[in-house]
Amino acid sequence: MSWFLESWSVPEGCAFAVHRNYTLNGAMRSYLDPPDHVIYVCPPHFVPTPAGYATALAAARARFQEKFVDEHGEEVAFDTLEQVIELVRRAYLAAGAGGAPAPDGAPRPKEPTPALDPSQTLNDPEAKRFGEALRRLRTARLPKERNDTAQYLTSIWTIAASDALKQFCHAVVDAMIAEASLRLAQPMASESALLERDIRDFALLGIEMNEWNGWHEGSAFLRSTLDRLGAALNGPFAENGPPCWPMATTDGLSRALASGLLHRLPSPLAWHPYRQLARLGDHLAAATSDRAYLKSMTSFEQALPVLTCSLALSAAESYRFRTGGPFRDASLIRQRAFAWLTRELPDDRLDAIPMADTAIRQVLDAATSTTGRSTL
Amino acid sequence: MRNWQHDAGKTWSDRLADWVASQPGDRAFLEANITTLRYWLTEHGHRVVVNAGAFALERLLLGDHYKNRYELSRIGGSAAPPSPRRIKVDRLLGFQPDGAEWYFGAIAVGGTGVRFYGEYCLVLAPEVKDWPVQFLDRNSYDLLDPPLVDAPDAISVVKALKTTWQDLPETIAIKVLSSVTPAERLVTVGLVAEMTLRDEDFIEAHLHRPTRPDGTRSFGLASVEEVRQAPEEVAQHQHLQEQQANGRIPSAAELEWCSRRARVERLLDSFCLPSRVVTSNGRGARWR
Repeated sequence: MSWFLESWSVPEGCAFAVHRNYTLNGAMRSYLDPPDHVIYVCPPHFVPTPAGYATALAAARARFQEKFVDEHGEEVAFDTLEQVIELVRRAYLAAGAGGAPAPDGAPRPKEPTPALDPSQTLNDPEAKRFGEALRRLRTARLPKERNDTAQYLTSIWTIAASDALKQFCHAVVDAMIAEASLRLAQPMASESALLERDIRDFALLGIEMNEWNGWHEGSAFLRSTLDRLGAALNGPFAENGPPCWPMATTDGLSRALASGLLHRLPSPLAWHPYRQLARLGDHLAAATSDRAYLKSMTSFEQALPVLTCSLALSAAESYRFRTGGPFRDASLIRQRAFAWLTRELPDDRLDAIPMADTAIRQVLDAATSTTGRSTL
Repeated sequence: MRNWQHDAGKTWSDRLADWVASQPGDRAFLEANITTLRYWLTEHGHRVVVNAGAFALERLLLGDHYKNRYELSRIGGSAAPPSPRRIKVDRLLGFQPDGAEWYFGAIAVGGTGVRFYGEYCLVLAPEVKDWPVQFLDRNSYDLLDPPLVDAPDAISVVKALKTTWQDLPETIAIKVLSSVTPAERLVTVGLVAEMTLRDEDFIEAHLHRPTRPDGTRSFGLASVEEVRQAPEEVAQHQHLQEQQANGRIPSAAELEWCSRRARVERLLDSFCLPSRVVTSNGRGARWR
């Protein structure tokens, strides 16, 4: 007996899985030998729910694809329901790459060419700081053994906990603002446009994920960050001063992240040998859905977009627990971010099913292409 | 065994009258309920609903047309769709040469549609009754399951189960009232709404949208009267937001789910498209 995907809405993360002892492969056997179990799963929690077989079949009347087959047209069999759910969940995450979809036939808003090295767009002192941090990170060697994701991630995180990353956290905020100001100057579709508010939110997250000592240093960093942002935007933040910080922003930052902030923010290091990904959210989608993302990295700096994402998520929660005083433990933010990444990155559950990796990459290809997304 | 050939030759009004006549005892309540139900359906209206997830709805809101499976790509191997089972059902329903130009929905008096197929229920405007449209009084894949698959004359079965927009009040009356026991009660509009589309049991709508000169078919946002959501999803969304505000880092899937919903909500607001949270019996969200 094996599990099969009977019908599957890949981008929506909804699927009907069946448990039976045969593959259909063209034979019209549905009414001769119905499956033992029909299970429905959907996001956000993918909890198995029993469903009717006719309901599973009729799903293909809507937007669900019938079955999941390999390149020879053979149904892909899964040993366990957990494997089916893992594939459905990861494909759902992969479909999120690219952020807001484009309407049929219309290309997605043109992305500015991502800066391979944002130091090119920074002012002298910031460029120097960024360049120095980047040089130090580039010298960090990645481990060659990458089959054990948890162990590999631990190695990356050990490097991430080094002084070099602490410097980079400062620098990445500089780089984000520099790149964002370039993008803000370009007309984009309203839904995908980077908002000034987004940059402010990220600046707040960037400050929290940084090493700073005491209220005054953090406050000064916020002021200088927002001043630079204000200068880039002809002064709105510089004139109005920093927003009430940090308590009034706590819920706002969580809500900003939950409304797709990471999908709107450009990645300061968009280049990755694995594929071209322009936004932080694209990197998060690829890293959490495809095992090849981490394995294909050739230098530590390529891990920075996904590390930045996890630190930002952890930093948003950190604000909640602080009373506004000068003391807080930045290492706690990193620990929480590491725990989150360890939990969310793909494990080896689907290793025995090569077609699963193929499927994930198909979804990522469609989701990040300018036209393929409309056929998902 | 039911005489399908006999049923296929009768109108739904005749079949409703036959069914009432076959009921034992005093039929006064039954007849009163039929009168009331016909009035409600005429007054409040039944609608064709289509369920879609956030991904599909967002694209619709951005100007895309609703797509069926024939217009979407496959993930995995590219085995030629559709399956023999779908071809069999499509032929029974009379789709020629295939179901590519047919779009499926369900009939609803209230509620949020068949949520297995998507968390958002798109209520189509009444204009759909002027489109080429037909209905089956159940999921058409039931035709491949016992006992319907064992009926000697599949054509008569399909003919007996098919219905039209004009006959829907009688179809709904039989569906609802045959499920209500004891019969000596007056039905309410909430009960009618609940029984018309209950869990996985629905009246299937088939909308024929042939390809237009510009290559598009199906329907767009202009044909959507309102978007409905079930309280479960809205509560889930709010619960996740509360958890995040209280210091819990959401999972990647939770973050993605909330993010898509937030984008959809912004778009719904910007289009001023009515969007409501309704319970399964439709209370709190009548059409008029």
